[in-house]
Parts: sequence; structure tokens; C-alpha cells
Amino acid sequence: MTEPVLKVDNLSIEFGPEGGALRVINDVSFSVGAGECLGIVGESGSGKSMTSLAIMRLIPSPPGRIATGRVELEGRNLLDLPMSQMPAIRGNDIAMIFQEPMSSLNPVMTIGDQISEAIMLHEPMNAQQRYKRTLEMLTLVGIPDPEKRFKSYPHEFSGGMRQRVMIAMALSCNPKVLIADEPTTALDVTIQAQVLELMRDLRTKFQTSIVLISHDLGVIADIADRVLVMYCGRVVEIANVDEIFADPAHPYTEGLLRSIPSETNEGQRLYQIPGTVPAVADRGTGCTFYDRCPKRMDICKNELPPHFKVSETHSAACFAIPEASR
Amino acid sequence: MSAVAEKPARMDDNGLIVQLWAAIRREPITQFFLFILIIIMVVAAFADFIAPYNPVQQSLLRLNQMPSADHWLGTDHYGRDVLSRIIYGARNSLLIGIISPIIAAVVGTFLGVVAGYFGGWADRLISRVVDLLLAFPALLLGILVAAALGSGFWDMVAVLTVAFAPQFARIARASTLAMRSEPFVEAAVSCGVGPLRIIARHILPNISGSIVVVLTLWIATAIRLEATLSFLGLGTQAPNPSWGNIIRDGLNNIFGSSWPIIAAGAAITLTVLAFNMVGDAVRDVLDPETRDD
Amino acid sequence: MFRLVALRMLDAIPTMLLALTLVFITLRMLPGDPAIAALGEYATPQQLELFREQMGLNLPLWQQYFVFLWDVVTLDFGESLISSFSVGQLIALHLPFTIELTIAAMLMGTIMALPLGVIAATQRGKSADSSTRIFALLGFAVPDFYLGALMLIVFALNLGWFPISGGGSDFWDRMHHLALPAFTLGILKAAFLSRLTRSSLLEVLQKDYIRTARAKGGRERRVIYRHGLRNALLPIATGLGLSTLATLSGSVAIELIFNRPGLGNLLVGAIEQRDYPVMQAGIVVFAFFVVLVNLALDIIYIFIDPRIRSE
Repeated sequence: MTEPVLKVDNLSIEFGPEGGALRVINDVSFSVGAGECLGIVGESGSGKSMTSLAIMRLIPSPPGRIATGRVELEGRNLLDLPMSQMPAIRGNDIAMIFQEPMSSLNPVMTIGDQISEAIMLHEPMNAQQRYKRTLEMLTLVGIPDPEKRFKSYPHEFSGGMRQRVMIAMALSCNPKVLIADEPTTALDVTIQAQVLELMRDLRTKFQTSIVLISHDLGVIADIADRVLVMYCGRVVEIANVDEIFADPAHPYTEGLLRSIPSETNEGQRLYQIPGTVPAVADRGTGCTFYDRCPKRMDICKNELPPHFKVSETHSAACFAIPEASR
Repeated sequence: MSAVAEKPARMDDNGLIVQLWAAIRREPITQFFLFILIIIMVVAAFADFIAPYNPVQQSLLRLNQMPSADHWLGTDHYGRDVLSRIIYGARNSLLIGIISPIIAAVVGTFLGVVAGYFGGWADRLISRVVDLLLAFPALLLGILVAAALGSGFWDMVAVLTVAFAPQFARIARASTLAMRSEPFVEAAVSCGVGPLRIIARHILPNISGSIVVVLTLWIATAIRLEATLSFLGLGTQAPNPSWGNIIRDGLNNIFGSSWPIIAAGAAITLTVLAFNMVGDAVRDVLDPETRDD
Repeated sequence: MFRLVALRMLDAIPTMLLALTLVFITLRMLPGDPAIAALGEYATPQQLELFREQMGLNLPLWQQYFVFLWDVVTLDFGESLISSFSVGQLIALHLPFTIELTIAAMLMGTIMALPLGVIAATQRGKSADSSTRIFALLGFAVPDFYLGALMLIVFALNLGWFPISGGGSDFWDRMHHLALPAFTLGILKAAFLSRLTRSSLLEVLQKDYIRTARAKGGRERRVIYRHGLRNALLPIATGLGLSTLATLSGSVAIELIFNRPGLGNLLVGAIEQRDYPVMQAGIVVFAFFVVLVNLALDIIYIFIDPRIRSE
């Protein structure tokens, strides 16, 4: 693999007062190459969104704090930069789209103004050039009649259209990395497919690296090259997308896969991982999945499993992985 | 996955007074103002024993005196003792300031519940009038009604009732509408329980919390409004002292002594502040979502 | 948009009618005889009869109602019982002082409140925030006429920086007379409005589109003013409307303190002297302003909230 565009190393995030802080993200590491799409999956509360906000350094602070780790963009550690330099990076090098297209756009600004604001913040253009660029972006994301739509307000758009606007805004300054946090969750299935299609097209066209966050393995399978599975603020498995689906190594990933409705389990009662995600304060020293794990062993209770390599591109944090395949 | 919903805290789970007391004990500032409030009320109630002089007794021998050991707050241009006038003024101000919001709450709640429960033309009429009255500042309504009624004690109570009842009506109507569509109320209706019984048994107990919150906060406003109207000469009339008309008197004698104005205004400010702080504490217990911090 | 503005204006007509009806009902139907109220309890029956004749109080109530409405529409408020001016002239003489006071106070209040509110919201929980909370609590507790009296005592009587009474003659003199009363009302409005600005802004700053604004690279100042405050303007506008009306009615007491020849002073004097036609007209003018401010607010919403426009 070529030099990664985005590299996250041992990222840990704490919430709460100094001393009594709770660690919600623990030792998360991954990297994304140019034009690559990394999917991050996990239940709500697993720390996916927190990780993505940390890359942008958008964690509300206080109470949040990045405790350890590095976030490297083309070799430069963003966490070392003074906060005042972050706005120049946000939206320019790394852009982000959010889950809630209904509420993520400013209701009192026109669509066009919101996109051209993003351009204005990063590109040295005059008003006319900005206007032209905005129209191009609107066309690019498939919004018909862009001259007219430029002057529309968010409430005049449907959810899918708003997400297209969000994408147009995110891509308007040709970011190197696009972080999409549950971009299709709030949308209908057909609209969801269209938005994913759009993201796939843009990726091939501009070689943008994408970090796609979703709780939906179907969406991940559709677009991602590699998959990162998160549970309780830790990476429990990371692999190429076909490896995850063909040969999941972590019992949690297995559980997630079994709970997707498919042709093979049609008519049966859908599998459900027993129990619930433990609260941050209740996490012991051992494997966080211990309470819910069908393959648990005594060692898992008090000792945290390290990552074992299953293949060159595949590793998982579980003691149940047979020695032979490590 | 079974999500066990946490039981929502309810007002009657753990006696309102107990909760209030617990809330007050956590906040030294609230304790302080509660203490002030109690002192003010005791002073108002026992004015006859506490006031050093007769508040309307004039004396040509001691006009416009500065504060002294005999007259802690000095005397006014009729030679009346300012402290005694303030102490007796507390009685008028507090009585009107407490009684009127209570009557306004009863009247307003009645109108609001009728509008919210029965709907139809009664609702349209009540809502329209209430909306209009709400558009008027309370002081303007007060001036309007005071101009028509006069300025006796009960006239003042009526004035403030008209000024405040719309506030209660609006809240009672909204809460009643919300309660009206609760399953247990709909169930009672479908079982043939009469409207009066439903209102008395189900609606009123459930909206009383929000009414009490508003009530405690409006007492402060009522005291201020009574003072303003008395200051304008539309409220409690001289020589009978109220904090508002003491300031009015003082204004006519502003070259003689500014002590009556300073003292009476400080009394209003302190009382309103105390009612507000304690009212805020009541609201935090009954209606935690609207906390101001 | 133009259509919407016109619609709102049409909407204000029945509201005004309802307001006039309430004024009429309050003044005519409440217990008490307007003639006795006007002339006092010691008036002779002949005087009372003559007064009723003059004021049209002998007509049936519904006729009185229409006469009242017609007088308002034609701006014919009759003659003062005390002054030699007509009621219309009296109002025209006094109104400018009240309007200039209200405008000046609101301007001062808003200019003080917005930055204070923004600072309190962005420094939440820090000392700047606590100070505005104390300012707001005091601002609510201190009656405007008391603060006015204190200002008068300190800055006009003792220091002599400002005139003690009157409204002033030429422009600068008027400004000189206006300063203290406007500051009194303005600072009290600022207490209320800064708190409102803070809470509205805090609420807006939690919204997803604020996160979007940060994510696209907006600097903090831009995020707070362009995106935050611009959206918080909707609730703030409502507060400004309420505040304007409260200032207008508060001016009554302030005019008395500073002895300004404004509408409030005219109205209170008329009530005291039982100058019935002046009192009635004064109340109608105040009611008119209430409806007018609410109308202005409705129209402002149309301009600042695109969601209302497309209804």
C-alpha cells in the first residue's frame, strides 16, 4: 500500500473532569490510503462518531479531551497544531457529512450561500467564481436546476436532496479525506442507494479517501474496501471487506453478521446479540465483550485480548482465535 | 435487548415540601433569600408591634430629618417616620402581591381548563381574548382597569387579577390540551366518566405543578406592579402607606429628603428579588427542564 | 413575500377592533358611572346629566359603541374637560416625547444586551456569565421608577449633569433631557434581553448546523455570529417586541419621575383629574401601539425566517 493519507494512531478520548475522567475511546488505530474507503461499523455508543469528530478536533471540550494518540494527515500530526489552525484544515483537507440531513443545514441561509461559504473559507476566488463553482457542485451531486435551487432554503428540500447539498458542500474544496458519519441512515432505502452511488462516483472521479461510518453492514459492504469493527470504544477487528463477510474472526463481528436479514436466514427469527453494551463506567480490565460473548473463556474476564493477525490484512482482538490461524 | 426505562421522577413520589426543602438546603443563596422573605413577612404581619411610630402621625417638629437613632431612616416632609411607613407599607404590598396572583391563578386556570377541555366556540372566544390580553404589557392593563375601577384594596386585587389571569389561562389551556389526549383520560371519557369528574380527578391534579411554578414567579411581578401603580397614583392611596406611594410622596419632596425614596425602593427590590430567588428554586424542583443555567 | 406582509396587515385590523372593544367594555361597563368618575362624587345631578349629554352617555350602549369606534377611525377624540386644547392636539403634543424615549431606550438596551448575551453564552459558567446573571436578576427586581428616581437624585440633583425635569426644546436640549430616562429604561431592558440572548444562543449553538459550520472550516467568531446569532434572532425578536411594549408602558412611570411631557404623563394626569376624553384617547393610543408592535413583529419574522415566507 502507498503512503496513507490519513493515519490514526493509538487515539484515546476521555470525558469528564481531570482525574475522574472516563475513557470512551481506547487505543484506536487505523489508516486510509488515497482513494480508499474505510468503513467503520459498530452499535450506537461504540465510539464511531466520537472517533470521526476527534479527527476534525470537533469534540466538545470540556468535557471531552483527546488523551493520547496521533492523527496524521499526510504525515502531519493534527493534534500538535494550535487550535487556531484547525479551521484551515476542516472543510479544506478533511470534510465531513453528518447523519442528520434535516438539521445539519442552517435553516436561515440559502443552500447556495452555505456551499459558497465553504468555498469562500478556503479558496481564493471572487464572488462570481464562487457562484460558478457552487452551481458546478450542485450539478455534480445531481441537483436539477441549480440556478434556481441556489436561492432555496433547506426546508424546501427533501432529506435526500439535503444530503446531496451536504455532500456538495463537503466536496466543494476537493478534500483529501471525506468523513461520512451515517450519511444514509436517515434516508429512505431508494434515496440511500442513490446517495451511496453518488459517493462511489465521486470517489473514483476525485480519488478522495472516504471514512464511512455506519451501523449498517449492508451499506459498508456496498462501498467500503476495508472494514473496522468498533465495540465499546475499541477496535475489535479490522480486515478487507470480503474477509469480514466471509470469515469474521471476532465473535462480535460474527454476531453483527448473523443479525443481518438475508436469504439464508429468511423465515427464521433474526439473531440478536444477547445483553446490552455495558456503560462506560462498568467496563472492567478484561475484554469488553465478555458479558455477551458466546465463546468467552476465563482469561477474557480480566485480561484484555491483544490484536492477533489472521492474515496480512486481517486482525482481531480475541483470545478465541485458534493459535494455528494467528 | 431490554431497555429498562428509568422511572421518571414524579412530584408526589416524595412529598413536594420534602423535595423543595432538599433543594433549598443545597443552595445557600436560596436559603439566604428564604430567610429574608420570612423576615419581611413577619414584619408585615406584626407591623403593629414592630413599627416604632404611627406611620401616618405627622409632626411639624421633625420634618425631613436625616437618619438618626430615633428615626433609623429619617422622616418625610410631614414629619412621619420613614421606617414605620415602610413597615406598614410591607403589609399592603405583600397582601395585594400575594392575594392577586392566587385569585388570578384560580380564574385563569378555570378559563384555561374550560377552553382546553371543551374546545369549540368557548375555546375560540377565550383564546382570542387571552391572546389579545397577553399582547398587552401587564402595566397597561393595570392602568386601564385602575382607571375604570378606582383604587381601593379590592380594586387593586381586581386590577392585578385581570392583568395576570391570561398568563395562567394560557398555561392551563396548553396543559389541559396535552392531558386531554393522554390515554388514561381518553379511557375515562370512553367509560362514561363525566367531564367535571375528569377535570377534578385527572386534569387539575396533573396541571397543578405548572400552575404553582408560574404562581410563585408571578408574586414578584405582582408586588412590582402594585408598587408601580401606587407610584402612579392609581393604587394604594395616601396617607395609607405602600412602597409605591412612599416613592411618589418622596418625589414631591425630592429637594427635602431622598431617604423615603431610597428606603422604599430598596424594600421593593429586596422583596422582589427574594420572591424571585425562592420562586426559581420552586421551579427547579417542579419543572427542572427550564432551569436557567 | 409582499402578499404575506399585506395579509399580516389585514390580520391586524380585527385585532385592533377587538382591542378597542375591550377598552370600550372596560371603560363603560365596569361598575361605576363614568359621569361620577369624571366629575367626582360631589357633582350635582344637573352637572351629571349635562356631562352624560355631552359625552353621549345617554345613548343606548350599542350606539355608544359605534360612536366610539367612529371617533377612533376619524381620529376625533373630542375636547379635554380641563385643558383648552382638543384631545387630538394634546396627544400630538405629548406623543413625540414618549416615542423618542421608547426608541432611545430600546436602542440602548439592544446595543448593551447583544454583546453581553453573546459573551455570557460563549463563556458559559465563567465569571462573565455569572455577572450577567446577577445583572439580570437585579434588573428584574429593581422597579424602573425606582432606578429612575435614583438616577435623578444622583446625576441630576446632586451632580447636576442632567436637567431635572421637562422634555427639552431644540435637538441637543432634547437629547440632554432624554439621556437619563432612556438610560434607565435601556439598562433594565438590557438585563432582560442579555439573558434572553444568552439562552437563545446557547440553544442554537447545540444545533447540528453549528457543527456543520465548524466542520466546513468556519472560525469561532463566524460560527457564533453568522450561524449562531443569526438563528437566535428569531426568539430574540420576540423578546424585543415584548421589551418594546414593556418600555412603552414603563415610560409612563419614567415620565412621571423625570416630569417629561409625554403620553404617559398625560394619561396618568387625565386619570387623576378625571379628564375622561383624554383618558379614553390615551388608552386607545397605547392599545394602537400594542397592535402596531405586534404587527411589526409579524412582519419582521417574515424577513428573518425563510420558513414563514414559504408557508
